Amino acid sequence: MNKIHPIFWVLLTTVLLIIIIFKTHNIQKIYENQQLIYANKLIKAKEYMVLKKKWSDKIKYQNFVNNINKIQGVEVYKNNHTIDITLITDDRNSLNKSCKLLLNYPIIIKSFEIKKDDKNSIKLKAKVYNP
Amino acid sequence: MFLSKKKLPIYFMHESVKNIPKDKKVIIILSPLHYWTKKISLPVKNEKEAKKIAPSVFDTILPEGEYKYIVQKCSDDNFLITAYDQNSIKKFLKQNGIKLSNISDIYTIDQVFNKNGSYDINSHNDILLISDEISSIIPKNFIKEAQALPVNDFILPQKGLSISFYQEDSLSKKIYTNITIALVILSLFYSIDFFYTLYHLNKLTKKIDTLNTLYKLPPTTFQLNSIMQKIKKRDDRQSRLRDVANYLSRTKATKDDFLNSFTISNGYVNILYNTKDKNKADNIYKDVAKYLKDVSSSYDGSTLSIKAKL
Repeated sequence: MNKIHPIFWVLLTTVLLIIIIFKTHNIQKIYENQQLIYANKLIKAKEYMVLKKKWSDKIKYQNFVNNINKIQGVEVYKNNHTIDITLITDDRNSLNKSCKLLLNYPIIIKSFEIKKDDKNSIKLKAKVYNP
Repeated sequence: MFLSKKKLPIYFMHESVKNIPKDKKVIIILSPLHYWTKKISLPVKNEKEAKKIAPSVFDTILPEGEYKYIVQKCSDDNFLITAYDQNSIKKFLKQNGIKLSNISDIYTIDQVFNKNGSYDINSHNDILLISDEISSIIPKNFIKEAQALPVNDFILPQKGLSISFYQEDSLSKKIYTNITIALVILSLFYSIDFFYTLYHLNKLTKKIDTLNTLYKLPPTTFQLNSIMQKIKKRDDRQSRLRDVANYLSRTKATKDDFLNSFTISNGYVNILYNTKDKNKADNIYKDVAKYLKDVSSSYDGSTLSIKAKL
């Protein structure tokens, strides 16, 4: 017995087609969105790595510590994640060298203080992040 | 009335049938009165090929109507061909008050039973005779003894007669079929597109996961943006700290004109600069303000005090 009118199959396949088109459209939108996320992540990941490396270069940090230790009068105290640098001097040369090292190396300076201590000496204190 | 294997009542239809329930599904077995049968030897191999030449077998025999054909293979080249007009069957069922929607299946007696013999079919004038596996109706006068039709021995095939419930128009049926085929093809194309995109989406998701693992990134863009903002802020502060320090180191110092203190702590900057020159104090304030935020200053004639945020 042919109980089902052919128009039923037309309607059924039409509904099926609409559902498939809708699903396909949706997944294409998700795909486009994911492509944007991927591109965005890739750019940011590279930028993130550059910035992270810039301030967390362990070799440059170690060089800095070695160099500042060589300056006369500089005292370096190592803590858990930071180092404290103190210099009380009337020697302008030592002060300039210390300041140059602090400001030229890509190290994270947590705090910095330069103060005229008395008539002749100057006190330099800095706290630097240990990467 | 007898029950079939499907547990539906079976009704044999000859001239008329009484007491058919109107709210139950039934199976109808047609007497040879409603169709034409011919056993013939054909030079074809299978039922499909025999069906193609079936109309020519009944050429000029059948009265006018739209016929459909059933072919059953009896032996190597012998075929039992049945021709029926679905419109006249539908008309007959309607005349007997049977709703088409109540019919589960319709079979010919030849399809369900072929045991040779004469059978009583509850008719005043006719008797069913099955001879050489072909049924026919003959007048009751010809045969005196007839046995009851053994409905319990009927073997119902899976497929009965193909009778449509609706008004069949071959042209519109063809159009509907073509539209359905076109829609199915389109659905297939879209399905392929769907699965193709899904495949690439999965690949892309894996790539994003690899990127996250490789660069140790957080899983969401929101978290990544937050971290990036933090890192950029740190980079900016460290750069500005160096800019201010470099600027202050470039200012010329004299006995009464010098940097007294420069302190950076918890993101705040304090500068004390000894100078009696108001213009110089103003210039220092203006230059320092370029690098810092929320700058406030005071000058008491000998010391410039600047407070700001990095």
